[in-house]
Amino acid sequence: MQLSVIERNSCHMISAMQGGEHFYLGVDVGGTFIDLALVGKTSGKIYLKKYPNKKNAVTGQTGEMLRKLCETACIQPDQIIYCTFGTTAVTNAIITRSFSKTGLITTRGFRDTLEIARQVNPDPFNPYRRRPDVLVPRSLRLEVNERLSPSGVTLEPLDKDDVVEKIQYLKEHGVEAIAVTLLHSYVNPAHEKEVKKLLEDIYPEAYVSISSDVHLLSREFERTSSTVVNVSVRKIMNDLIDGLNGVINEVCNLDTFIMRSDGGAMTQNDARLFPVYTVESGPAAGVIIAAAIGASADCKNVLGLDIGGTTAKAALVEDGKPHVIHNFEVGGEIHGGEVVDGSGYPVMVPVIDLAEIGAGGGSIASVSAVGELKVGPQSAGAEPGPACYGWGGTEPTICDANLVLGRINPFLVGGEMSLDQDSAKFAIKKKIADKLGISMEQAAHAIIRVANNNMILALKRVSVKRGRDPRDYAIIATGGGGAQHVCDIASELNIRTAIIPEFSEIASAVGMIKTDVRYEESRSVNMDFASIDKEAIRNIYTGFVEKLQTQFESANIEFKKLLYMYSFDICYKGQSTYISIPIDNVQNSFDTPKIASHFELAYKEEYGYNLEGAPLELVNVVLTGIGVLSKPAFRSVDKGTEDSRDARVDERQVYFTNEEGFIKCPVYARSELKENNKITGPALIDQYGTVTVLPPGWTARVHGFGHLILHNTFKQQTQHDS
Amino acid sequence: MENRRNTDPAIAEIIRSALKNGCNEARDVLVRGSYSIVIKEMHDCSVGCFDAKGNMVAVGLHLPVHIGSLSFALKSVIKKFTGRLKQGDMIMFNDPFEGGLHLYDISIFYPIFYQDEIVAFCGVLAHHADVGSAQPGYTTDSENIYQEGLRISGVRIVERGMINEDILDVIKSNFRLARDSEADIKSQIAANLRFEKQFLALLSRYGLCTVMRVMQETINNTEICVKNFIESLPDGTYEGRDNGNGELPEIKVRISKSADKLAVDFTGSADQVDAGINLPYAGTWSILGYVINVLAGSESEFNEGYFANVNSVTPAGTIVNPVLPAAVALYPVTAMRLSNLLLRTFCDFVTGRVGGLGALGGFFNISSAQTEYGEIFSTLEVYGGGTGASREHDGIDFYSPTPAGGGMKITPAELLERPEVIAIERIELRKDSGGAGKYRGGLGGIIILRCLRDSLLAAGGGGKTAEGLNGGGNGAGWQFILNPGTPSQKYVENSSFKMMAGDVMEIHCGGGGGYGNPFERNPEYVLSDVVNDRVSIKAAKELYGVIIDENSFSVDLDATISNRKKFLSHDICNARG
Repeated sequence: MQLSVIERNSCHMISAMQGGEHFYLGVDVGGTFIDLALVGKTSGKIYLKKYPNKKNAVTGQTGEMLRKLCETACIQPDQIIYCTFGTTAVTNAIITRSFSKTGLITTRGFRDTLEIARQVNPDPFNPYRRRPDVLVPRSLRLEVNERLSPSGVTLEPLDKDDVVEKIQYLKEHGVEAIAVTLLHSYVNPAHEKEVKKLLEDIYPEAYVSISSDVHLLSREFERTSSTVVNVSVRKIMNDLIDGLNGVINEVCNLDTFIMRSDGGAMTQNDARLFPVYTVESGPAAGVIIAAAIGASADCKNVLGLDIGGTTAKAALVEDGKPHVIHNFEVGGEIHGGEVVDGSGYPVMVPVIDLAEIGAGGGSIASVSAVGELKVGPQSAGAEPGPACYGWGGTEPTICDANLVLGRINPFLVGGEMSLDQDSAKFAIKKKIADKLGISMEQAAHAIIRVANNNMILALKRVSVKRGRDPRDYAIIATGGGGAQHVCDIASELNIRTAIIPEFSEIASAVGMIKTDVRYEESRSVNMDFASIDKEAIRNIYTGFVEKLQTQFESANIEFKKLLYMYSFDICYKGQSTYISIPIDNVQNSFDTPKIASHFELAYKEEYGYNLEGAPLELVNVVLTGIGVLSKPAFRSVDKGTEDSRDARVDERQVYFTNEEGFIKCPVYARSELKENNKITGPALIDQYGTVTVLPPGWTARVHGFGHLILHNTFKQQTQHDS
Repeated sequence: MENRRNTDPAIAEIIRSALKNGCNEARDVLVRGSYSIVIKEMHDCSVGCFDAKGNMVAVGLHLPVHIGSLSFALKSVIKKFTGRLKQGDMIMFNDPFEGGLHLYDISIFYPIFYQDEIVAFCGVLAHHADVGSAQPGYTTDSENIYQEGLRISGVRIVERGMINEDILDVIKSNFRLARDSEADIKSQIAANLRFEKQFLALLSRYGLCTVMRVMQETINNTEICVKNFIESLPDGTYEGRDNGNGELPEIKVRISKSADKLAVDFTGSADQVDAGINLPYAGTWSILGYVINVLAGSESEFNEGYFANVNSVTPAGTIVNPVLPAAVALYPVTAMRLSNLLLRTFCDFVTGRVGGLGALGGFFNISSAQTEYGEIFSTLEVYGGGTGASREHDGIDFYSPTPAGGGMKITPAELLERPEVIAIERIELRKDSGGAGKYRGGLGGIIILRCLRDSLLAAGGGGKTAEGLNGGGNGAGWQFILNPGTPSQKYVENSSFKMMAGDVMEIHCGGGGGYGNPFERNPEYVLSDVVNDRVSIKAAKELYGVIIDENSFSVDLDATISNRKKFLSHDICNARG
């Protein structure tokens, strides 16, 4: 399937205007598609290209696609001055087990830590449930003689001869990537550094990662897992960067950046060393764009809702900043909005806190043996796809339900893909409606409501669960499905405002270029808060700042400014879960009572109670460095009035409620809308890759940047069936 | 199926998932807020949602043995407090003779009121590391309940929204880890409040009638699922018994299936004993529910509906239904033994579900009067072992001990070592411990710990071998070895002893049972096990008949075939087909 570009103007008209304009390029290398977004720095004009990510497409097609995109935009390639790409390469490589032959070196007695994995069975009710396959076979997990105490004191020195022997063994066995995790290296990395030195001397061709370089936090299994994931995909990341550099440099000469999972960008060099920092780079870009859209519409507190093909993702943005956490499971399963403990490969790296749920367009609906309706998490994926794709899928999906209710246009992506209504109706009737004894339309409507509820659980996970009231937020809906579901979801949560950006179906690719370069350093210190060794903390921070400064200098790009954000991870002494508390510049003396009171407030906000006055522990010290980049503006649309009749192009029958059945709805063309145009629901607004469903009771207004600002005119909704 | 017509299917599913989500969220509040390693790192805690009569409606993916017991405990609380529960009350409970498990498992039940009526309960169970037993931490030497700590048969820990400081005071003066327990109790209370918030939101959105009806339907649906499963089994009666090779009190079970009813009769089981291995009746029921869930593999929720078509006879005063003053601290040992016995007995008439049996879990508890920081230290670690091989897969190596500890994590050595009371010298897979078979039983583990300070160590559980099925071999049994390889070497089990600084304890966790004739195992799998140090070359030859060259690490196929032929003629496999 070849998707074309949004073309708003013919080339000769705009070429004169774009002569001196600089462009930013965002590349989203997804599992199914590659999206290119080219955005004008001052005009904010967006040009898109979407093509299937088949084998070798990254290197084989990207150059050609980029050239075509430049042609369409009528620009010279050297007008592109900045590029960031995000990729699911790491996650895909881990899930499909297509990574380098990897070995592991551990402290004596701990070679099986990676496999035992805290012995967790993800499903305690099923003794036959298997854990994910271990990433390094036992024969390639080797132990070395050494031992540190929990405070970092050497109890047994590193046996270098032993290390040399083990390295030789791994080399002889064709291991290409070697992870090193020694016990308590988060307090004292000296032994790990020695092993690294020996590896560089004896086996310089190998990819090597030591755990203290990846993350300085305690918990040996999680640290080992992070390090192994990291080293096993270093070659893949290298090849991907080399490949993209090759094709991008053929077209335009630039240093591309790579999107990190915490929403920052990183240099190529860092990505080659620490690919594990990119595990959620695509979804993170989706949150970054939600934050940027929110800010452009004067909403600093937003809930991002990104509904893709297989999952929906929710994230909270406060004061323009997403919440970052330090645990994530690569390939983890989702249950009720939570990643099931032990179902994937844990990595302890900063990741934007996303609640992901198996409710995307391709999620399958089913009826259990006793008549319970379920939606997801199984997905029809791209193959065989939803029944309506006509590619052999027979299971009813959320996409099918949207189609039969008239909520999406049967001619997808500008008419290049037509959807088969009959197959969708047949699947829903046979697999759902007949089993429940209701009509096909009622069944489709029920599927949508259950799917919406799953998405609501994800939104609540990032808001209500953290003590936030969703009513205080606007939802930014992105992804192919966001615009169809957001109004119903917002009504249910009593949220009054939802925003759908112009380019909502490829928002992640645009998000790539709305970000800043970001680094994070952290270290476990485990100090009593009452007796913090301030000198030691200052020294740690001095080291962190020096390291980050060097990294910023080597980034080879001009920053508007550099920001350093200090934070402490604090818990009540005795707990395992901490809260991150921002602090003032540590180079001046820090105010421990003030920090403690901030912690107690934050704790109360998160849990609803606190243990006021109980002793605190400083778990980790963290420094985040942000190299602020200049970013492209949003495109301004032409001014108009409330009158939107010029954009009205069609009518379709849409099913909103079981009571009213199908009702006639006007259809508007998104590309024809002007600033201030107002649309009153019920209505549909078609655009290139998605449709906005505006139910009765909702209005839409076009923002100056082309966003649709949707507004709920109903008061609080309650629904009682009886 | 009348209900199906009444409730909108979408609303029904929305309410069901909200209830489950509420349980998961409540447990998350508990885990994050708790102080003791047992809860915050091991996750030895569970949350359930119940109707106003105490019937279990929805649960989180937590510990099966906890989950199944909670409704028994709650029903006795409801009985005790009939007409006396006020809005804002929370009841603390841990009585093994009234529906509880051991005294460590303290539940806090919270009646949720709506317009002056109790409409539901939330129950939050957490294992407390010390409950004031004679011996610190997890006790192994008790002979009766009075030596095991504080028994709480239902008291108001929260009264009309205020913490009952008097009760908390009793707790703090009796439990050794008073600070941890206080924080853990407060976290249990917070977890209940979190659930209530979710539940009330559901009521205000969908109305009391709908929510109540969906709760009832959820139980009915499960009941139908289990009923269908029972109906699908052939009628008949099967008997099983287990006495741990003559070393443990016998559990005797007789399972009769007729039409859509199942009768499980424990008559003839041994009398209760003067040791902690008695299994309170709620635990017996809980294990029964778990086993039916494993066999039925149903897609329905785990709730009260599990028990509707099952009758169980558990004579009072026996090992599976002890009465006062029985000791019960080590009940998980018997719970896991019962689970394996039931699986083995059921497999006579449930085909295709049961593979080899899994190893039972074991534990150690280390307590030290003084750490470097001048505090009492006591913590429990629970280890699983190899799981049984299934009909299609090898067992899983070193896995959590379902059902009594399913979902329980081991604590990172980097955290366990921090108080500098013990050092973990080794934690690894135990070679050759999985039962041989066409599919191999999972390997157990080896844990070696060294004491850095004088302390009290309790260790036990595990028990004897996990049986293989259909020709598969047994898994290796558990061993607890004190100071191995020294003149003071000593094998111990279910006991406590003083450890001096420098003393070493070596724990060998059991392996799972194999499934099918080992001589039918693909030689390539055997080779892979040898290369990965899971099976020795010697065992490959003796148990699997596979000859592997020591130098090249390759299978000698000709020698293997002739070797296997030689043995196969003896028909050692005892295959049932």
